[in-house]
Amino acid sequence: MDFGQVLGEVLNPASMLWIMVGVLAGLLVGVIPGLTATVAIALLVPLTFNLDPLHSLLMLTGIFSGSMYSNSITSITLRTPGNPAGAVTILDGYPLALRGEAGRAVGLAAWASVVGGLLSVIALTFLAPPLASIALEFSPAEYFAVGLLGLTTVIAVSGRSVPRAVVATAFGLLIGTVGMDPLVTQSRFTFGQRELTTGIPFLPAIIGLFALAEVFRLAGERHLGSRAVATIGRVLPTRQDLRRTVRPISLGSVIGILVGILPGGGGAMASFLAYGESKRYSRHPEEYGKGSIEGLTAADSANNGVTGGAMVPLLTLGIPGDAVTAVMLGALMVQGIQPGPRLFAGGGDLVYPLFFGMFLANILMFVVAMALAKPLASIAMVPYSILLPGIAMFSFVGAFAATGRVYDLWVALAFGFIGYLMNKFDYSIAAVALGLILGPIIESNLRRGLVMSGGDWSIFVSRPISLGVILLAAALLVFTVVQQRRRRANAEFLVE
Amino acid sequence: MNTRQKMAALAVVGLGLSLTACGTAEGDSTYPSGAVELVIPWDAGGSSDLAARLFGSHLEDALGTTVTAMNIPGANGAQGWADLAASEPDGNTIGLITYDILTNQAMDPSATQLDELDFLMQFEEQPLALYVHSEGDFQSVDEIVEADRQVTFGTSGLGGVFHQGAGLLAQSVDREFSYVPFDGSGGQLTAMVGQHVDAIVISPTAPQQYVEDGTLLMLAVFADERSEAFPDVPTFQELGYDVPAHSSFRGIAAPKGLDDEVRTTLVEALKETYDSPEFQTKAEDLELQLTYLDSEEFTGQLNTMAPTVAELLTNLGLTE
Repeated sequence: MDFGQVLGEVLNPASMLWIMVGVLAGLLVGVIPGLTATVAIALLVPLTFNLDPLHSLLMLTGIFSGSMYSNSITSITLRTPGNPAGAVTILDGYPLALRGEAGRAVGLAAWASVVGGLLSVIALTFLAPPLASIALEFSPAEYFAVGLLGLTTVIAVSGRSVPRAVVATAFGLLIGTVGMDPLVTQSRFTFGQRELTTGIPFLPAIIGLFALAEVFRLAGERHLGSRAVATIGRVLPTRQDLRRTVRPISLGSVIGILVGILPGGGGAMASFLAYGESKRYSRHPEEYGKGSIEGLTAADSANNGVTGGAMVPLLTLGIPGDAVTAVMLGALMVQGIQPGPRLFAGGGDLVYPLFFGMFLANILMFVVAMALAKPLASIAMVPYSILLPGIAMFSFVGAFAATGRVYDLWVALAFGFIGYLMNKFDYSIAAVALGLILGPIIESNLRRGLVMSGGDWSIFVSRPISLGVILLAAALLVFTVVQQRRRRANAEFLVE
Repeated sequence: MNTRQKMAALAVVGLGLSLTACGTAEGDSTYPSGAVELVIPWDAGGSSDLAARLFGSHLEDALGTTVTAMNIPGANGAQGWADLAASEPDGNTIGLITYDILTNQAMDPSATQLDELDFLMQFEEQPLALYVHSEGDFQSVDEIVEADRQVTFGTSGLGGVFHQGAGLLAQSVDREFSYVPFDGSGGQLTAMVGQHVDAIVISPTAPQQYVEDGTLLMLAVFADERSEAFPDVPTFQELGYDVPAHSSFRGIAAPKGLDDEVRTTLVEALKETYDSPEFQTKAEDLELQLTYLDSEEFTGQLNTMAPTVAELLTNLGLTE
């Protein structure tokens, strides 16, 4: 299939219409808390039964990209994460909004998402088969190592006290063990509660930690003004901002693509890793957590970099890497298409138009996002009397919509109180989220690895990738600690 | 995603829209008098969900009414089956049945038991098969059975149907394997293709293209006779192993206590759906292995399998 034919398949009214429908639907579900891309795509798959295979895929990938970006809007303006990756967007997006720069944050998040998305599509187009072979190299030992690498991010999200952040991460890891043991039939820490056998539901927990905790904090303020901010600032990114975010966005995109191709990685892990890495290389690490555009764009580009990355194992191996692509696999099978080596070998009649369509979807998303950015960012200017009940309502709707259990409302509320107390005593809540995300990945892969090796721990250091990643994690940890010491010493020197 | 979740999603999307409530017609004695609900005890978007939705959409023509798919996932299907068993036996609620109902019954006495449901038909059956990597240490069943080291089997999850398949082989040759559970059959297959486990037992659809390109070897099928789709692959019996047949299946059930007339209409409509060329074509696209069993045959087969499954799970140390 030559390039002209590819263009012909995509640049026609019907294909463009379905790309548009997908992007708009994605943007819409993204701003509704709890409606993740997985939920939206699962709901829409039955509609694609009678569509042309290309059109159906264009729509579904449009939803994927659109929702990955628009999740950031509620994270920035309302501190309410729409999906797990939103927990990282909040760290710098929300402080920016509080400074009256919600417009800047929303605009830059859109820019970062589009660049991450576009780069990931380019990687998918030209590097899919070699990238897929990386995914195959990853055994439980490598996943365990990557999980450890992720844990070093704790220093980046530690706030003022690293020891307290470590405690918070440990708390996250601990509550991540609640539920059915991954390898034997045994429930853990469920205290006879049937609902807990599937574990602490992640989205309700982080909605509570971030959004409800903030509502409680603001409600307790003695001298609260009538509104948080009176302005949102300009939406279109300035040339200076664009220049400053080149590095974090490139870094974030690459991390997003790499984590995306690993089955089971996901947007949240990519965002955390990108955030931590970009802080390490930043000239202004002190701004992180207080409204750093570098931190924000690193997280958001990683989040959207995952979209193209996750398509790699789906299309080349026929193996879905996450919940979203698992649903897409089903949509493809309904059309009589079995993704995998055969699909690629077959000349790419479907895949190349799809890649080009995904490329267009990202550009279209940027246009629509910019057009809607101003009204959406203006949510940040709503008076507290409306904003606080609004966030509370949004939080509960989000917690409920994620799983549909009333139980999860209680989870959100409980974590709201936990988050409130942690904020008050200066424990990083992002560190809890980190532990919650990485705990199950680290634990199940550690134990899988040990089953595979018959209990021999050397499996984690005898494989080159696994050993390399573990050494990298150790080196980064030492490097960061030394760097922090030196900075602190310098600061004390200056004070004296 | 389940019904409540969908309701929540719809409620959110519909904010600002005014909804008009529709009354249902009461007192009409002919079946079907309203929409029929099809309970799917799995998440939306998975292979079982798609198979059931496809069947449901063609059942609409045969029944002459709307068939609404309802996802009630949770506890390995147990949540959906409990709801199905507890629903009114008026023919307006039917549900998808999969192998896991046998597993649940054996592992959890409080789960829905076979005698609480009326099994109306089976529409699909996939005999499982044993696979190894073409460059792996083991290239035949004999080599696996006689291996002088621990053999690792990747599974789609603890105690699932694929785990049980490997367990059946272990039991019949009287040795132990180590089982590495992954998150779903996708992870299981990746681990096999990436050579991180020695062997897998899985249903044949997904690995087929890896067999065709020479990456994987399909060593034997868990069936009494060779499969029409894979005429070159021997059964375990042929290779001299007394491994019982083992397959995953999908069927339709209703709560116990249907009115005779309703039951007859329903069973006929299900058969008509199965036979319709439109459904057959679509099912082929989805690579379903269509195999029809009527109510009696299906119920009989379930009851025969139940004690075997229970014994196997006990041997694998998975029952409490």
